[in-house]
Amino acid sequence: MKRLLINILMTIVFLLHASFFAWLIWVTYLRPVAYAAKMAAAYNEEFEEVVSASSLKDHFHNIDDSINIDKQNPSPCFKCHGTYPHSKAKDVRAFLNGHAFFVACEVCHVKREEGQRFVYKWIKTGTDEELKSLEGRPGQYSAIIVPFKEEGGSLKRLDKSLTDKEVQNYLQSRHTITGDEAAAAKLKMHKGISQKPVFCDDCHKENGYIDFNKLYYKAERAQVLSSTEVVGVIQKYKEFYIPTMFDPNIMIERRMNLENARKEKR
Amino acid sequence: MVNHTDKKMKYYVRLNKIERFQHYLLMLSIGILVMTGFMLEGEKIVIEFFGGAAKTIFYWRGILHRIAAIMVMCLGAIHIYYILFVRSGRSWIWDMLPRFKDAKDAVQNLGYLIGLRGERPKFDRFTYAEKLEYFSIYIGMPIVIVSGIMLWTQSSWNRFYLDIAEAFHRGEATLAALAIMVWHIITVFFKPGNYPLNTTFIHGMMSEDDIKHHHPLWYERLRAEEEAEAGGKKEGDALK
Repeated sequence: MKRLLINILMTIVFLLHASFFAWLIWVTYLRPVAYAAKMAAAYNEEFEEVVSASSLKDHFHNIDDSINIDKQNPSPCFKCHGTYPHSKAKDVRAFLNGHAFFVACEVCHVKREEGQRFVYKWIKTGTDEELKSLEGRPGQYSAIIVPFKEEGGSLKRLDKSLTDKEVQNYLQSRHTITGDEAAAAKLKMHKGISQKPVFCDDCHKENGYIDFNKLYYKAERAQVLSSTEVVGVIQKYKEFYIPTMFDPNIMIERRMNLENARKEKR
Repeated sequence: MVNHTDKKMKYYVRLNKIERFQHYLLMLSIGILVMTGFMLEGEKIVIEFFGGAAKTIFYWRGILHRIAAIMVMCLGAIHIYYILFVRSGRSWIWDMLPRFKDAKDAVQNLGYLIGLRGERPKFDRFTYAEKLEYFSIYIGMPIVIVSGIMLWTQSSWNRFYLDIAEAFHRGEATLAALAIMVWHIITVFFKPGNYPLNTTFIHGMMSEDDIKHHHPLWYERLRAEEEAEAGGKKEGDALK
């Protein structure tokens, strides 16, 4: 009897042991593979959806979502700074210009005191109408993110301090006014605009300036947008190595060296 | 089960009090560390089952894991002190040091196990397998301790190093857990002769028969020591 009890107990011990062992093998070797397969399947589904979208049927390469700038209601800033206003920092300018299509310039460039927070809303382009949900795929919202400042209980749009007319007047008269007058005009137009914009990881982090949940992103998407993944990419992009074959200056120099060598018949 | 109260059988000390204490401490801390550590890999379904309590459970999980980690670090220090400054500890590490004989034993034992040799090699106090198991802790401990401290103080580390530390911590923990489960526990519980439990870790004794069978060279040494002692004093009983 005692022997039987011991055997039963030891069988239980062995089974517990074996199941923990099996679970460890699953966690270490099998679960990551299963997870990767699941993610790949989800990605494929999304991929199929995008490829089969009617607007992209005739495209050969373009399978990504395209975000189009609102040509009807461009920001007055674009009149001077162009549709692709970010050109200085080669490494991140594509990111920044891409953002300019759906984010008001003031989101990053507005003057703020240290740690000051604004309210952000999706506003239908050309209107004051606020989006109450995000319909369709990214890039199809026909709206931009606009910062608002709380003033005496009401919200004030921060992207409307400059009007098209002011810019128009400046552009028409800029060759006839003096340097001082031009400088004063520029100063006035850039009132409220900061010399030092916020950087990517000021918003794309947890408890960053923007609460992506309040912008109606799905919880998972909001988490991605404020996760360290985005910050990680941006941090890596802070040290971005462009192959020299794409740098015209280096290539011209090399070609000249080659030609000189040829001339000298080396 | 070894019945060390059997009067007819002679028993020798295999693990002394300090060694048994260290083993208990290791057992307890590694047990807690494995359980609370692998909780992080817990299946979503199980965690969701606990609902709101999961948050509290995981809060205590973190604290317990760190307490056990401190225990294991103290144990490491105790053990190093033991093998350096205590007489029995010095004899322990001396008998434990790997020798050429161990490589030979491993090959010969393999030969015996696959039927190429008629008998097993004669083992001393510690077999090559016991030495491997013992020294794997020397490699594993620094890895888990250093990477664990890095993860504990993660706010002061670059993400790059944390990723490395995490990979090492998880990898070494998995290896150690599997080694203990597949090798050590199976041997202690289920090896023929030990089933249902090798109780040496409780009372520290090993029978003369077992020593003769498993550690014949050690037995010869023990006998020689006994005889030398009996030369001095007439009373040459078990070493205690």
